[in-house]
Amino acid sequence: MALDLTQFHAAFFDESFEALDSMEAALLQLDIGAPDPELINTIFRVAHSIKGGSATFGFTEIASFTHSLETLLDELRGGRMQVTQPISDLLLKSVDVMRAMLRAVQAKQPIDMQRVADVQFDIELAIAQKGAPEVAAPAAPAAPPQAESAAGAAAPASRGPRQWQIRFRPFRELFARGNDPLRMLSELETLGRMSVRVDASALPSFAALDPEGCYLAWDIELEGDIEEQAIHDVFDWAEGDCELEIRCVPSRETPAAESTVEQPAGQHEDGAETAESSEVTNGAAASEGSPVSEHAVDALLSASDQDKASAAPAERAPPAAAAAEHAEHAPKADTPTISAVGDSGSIRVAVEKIDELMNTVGELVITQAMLSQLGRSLEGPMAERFRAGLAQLERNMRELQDSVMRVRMLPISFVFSRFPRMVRDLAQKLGKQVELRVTGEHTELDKTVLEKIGDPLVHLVRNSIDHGLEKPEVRVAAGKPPVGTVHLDACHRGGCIAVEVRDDGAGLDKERILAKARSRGLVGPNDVLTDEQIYELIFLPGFSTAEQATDVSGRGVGMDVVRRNVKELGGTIDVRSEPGKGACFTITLPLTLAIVDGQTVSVGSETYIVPLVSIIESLQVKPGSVNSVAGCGEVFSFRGEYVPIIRLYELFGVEPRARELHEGLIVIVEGEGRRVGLFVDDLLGQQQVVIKSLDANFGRVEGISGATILGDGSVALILDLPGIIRRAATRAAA
Amino acid sequence: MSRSRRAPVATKKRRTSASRAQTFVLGAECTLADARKLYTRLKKLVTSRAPVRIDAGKVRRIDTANVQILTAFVRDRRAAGRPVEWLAAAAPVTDAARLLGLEAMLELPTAQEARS
Repeated sequence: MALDLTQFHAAFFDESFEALDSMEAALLQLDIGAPDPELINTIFRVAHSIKGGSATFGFTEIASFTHSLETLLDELRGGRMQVTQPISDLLLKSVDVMRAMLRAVQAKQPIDMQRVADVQFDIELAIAQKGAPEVAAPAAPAAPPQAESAAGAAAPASRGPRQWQIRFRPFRELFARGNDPLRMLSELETLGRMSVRVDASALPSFAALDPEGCYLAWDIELEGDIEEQAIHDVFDWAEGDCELEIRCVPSRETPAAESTVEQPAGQHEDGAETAESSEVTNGAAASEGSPVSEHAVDALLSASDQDKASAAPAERAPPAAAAAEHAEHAPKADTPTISAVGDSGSIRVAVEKIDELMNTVGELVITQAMLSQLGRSLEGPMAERFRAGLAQLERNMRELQDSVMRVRMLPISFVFSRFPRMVRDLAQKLGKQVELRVTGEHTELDKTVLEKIGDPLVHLVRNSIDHGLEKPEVRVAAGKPPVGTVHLDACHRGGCIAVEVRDDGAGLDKERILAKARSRGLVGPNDVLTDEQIYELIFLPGFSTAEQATDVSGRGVGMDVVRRNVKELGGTIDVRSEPGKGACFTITLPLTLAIVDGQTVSVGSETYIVPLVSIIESLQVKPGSVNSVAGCGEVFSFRGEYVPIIRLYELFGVEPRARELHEGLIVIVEGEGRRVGLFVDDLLGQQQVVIKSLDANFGRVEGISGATILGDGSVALILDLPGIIRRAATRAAA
Repeated sequence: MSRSRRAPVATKKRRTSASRAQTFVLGAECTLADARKLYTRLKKLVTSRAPVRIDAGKVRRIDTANVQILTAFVRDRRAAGRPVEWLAAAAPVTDAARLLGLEAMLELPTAQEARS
């Protein structure tokens, strides 16, 4: 059966999208005019990897585009072109195009070839115009050309001829991962003079051969003006699927090296040649002679100096001077080897597998609750030991649950990483100067929550830049620095994650919000609202104070959607603002959507779960402390504020055991910034509950977020407090 | 009894197959997706007593997996004293063999031989 390469597509897409994210991040860090060479290398590696992968999988359009991009990056890397603002913009556009192409191929949709062709044309034009650097980048300081680098004190790292020994030992599954050593060797050959020695000792008899397994290994010698990174780039895609050692030895390019440092074949690390190995030299390249035969000693000294200069801390290669001093002993002692093995501390697992695991853990939690309930009713000499065992089981269950939950956790930087680009583009578009500060990006959040929080955050950041931050001249006039700041922050807060979007702009304009609300009849002309209540108005559907709808912040459909999305995740959103100093939106999210710590309460014969995180207090009210207010139902005074009471039995149509408020209990809960008291018959206990969605089988019921199975096998509904508050308000109004 | 009856038949069969050289033509595309097919086809020939001739003149694309299969095939036959003859080898095949350092093991014809 032929190997089906499509099975590797998903991994290719995942890796490519991640790689594009890192490419974008690196591009945003590039300093115009004086870019960090390592950043350019990172960007180059990504383009190179995607090119290789897409060529392997037959995505020719992507391969062709990335080839052009790679050429441009190579020019930048080699210092033959400068990183200018237009080039930086072009590279960012290329990232967009590559992302769009990958998405299209992934979704089996046609690629927008016009867009691809436009950007590819721009890339090729930029490369073609490199001959006129003064026109393209008059102000950019030129990197020292290669010819000058040997003499110059600050020669670019790792310039000059070198000889590399590469030990490439593929793992058996290398082919199956879409890698072809032939392609790698072919690319290596383009870098310099190459000689290849194959080790076929592991090749089994034909009958025992797995046609899709890789049994061959290679020792490669490569000579020329080659940076180590360029070699790594060739093997980039195979990282993790092979053992790779790259070492630098003194070059044979100079005649001195030819006569004194040349290594016989036997000096390969492997020592003896196997019977199954042979050596092949690239004849055409090998016939090219060395150019400076008369200056052997000078050349050797020069090479040493050059490499001394190149021995920057960031370089992995050893100083060649030391290598020359120690002749053939040096490489083994000093050269670091880069092994692709062991670097990969992570594995890629399909989300479905983790969800299955999570479900199983959920079922175990239910079973454990069932056993706990059984244990409580047991009596006799064994009962205590049984309960002790159960307590142990409970602890272990919690640990298991935590571990599985941690597997689903990803750092919020996955979401934050999209913002530098967005902020840059928006600031450019709106003529504002914006600095984005990101803190707490390592805070971890459930993957599902993470995926859904992106859009609300995008809305908030866009709003901050569009409406919040002022134009530079306005800021300067107000005594502020011209550059506005948007601060993204994430942190743990009491079992939840709080994500803040803060800006130092003008803050929310209370007067305008109020005027708008009054003009729309949302607030009565004589109503007096607190600041918080005014700010809450922006979350009403269709509310916008933007004088002009822009394509940045939309048409006032943003904030209500933000709140709805956050609410769907079981979270809340609050806003604080100070005129002239800025606004701060805080989103509070649960750590996970799968399991919740709950308080079980009884109402009649029913049991409900109230999420523990929403409960402020549970208490019994005294008779007479409750007042009836027209239009609001019953309220009672709780720490100086009047809290409406919601009788759950009325809301859900259940026959209660207690109808008088002093006979039951009030659970004070908070949802969407409002407090209410839930009247229940009794509190039963606290336990972790596994949320089972009802949406698959039942219509959505406001006030219920899901269900769970209790220890005795009965089903309990989990209360959705914002929904309950809304539902109760509707009933009161009716 | 059975032995005396079987022997001539087997000998006859071997003689027939040994006398007729088998030509194996490689397809234009020899990529990983084709590797298993190539292996299955060659497996039938690896122990064949008949001379095997490989025509790789039409190959447009070949990868390491396929070159590796050919290498094991050629090596095993050579070890059994039944070398393989190359009728033709297209440039992608000779290039691949050179790059992979397998030119000698494959006993490929030189460029000149291939042309003749």
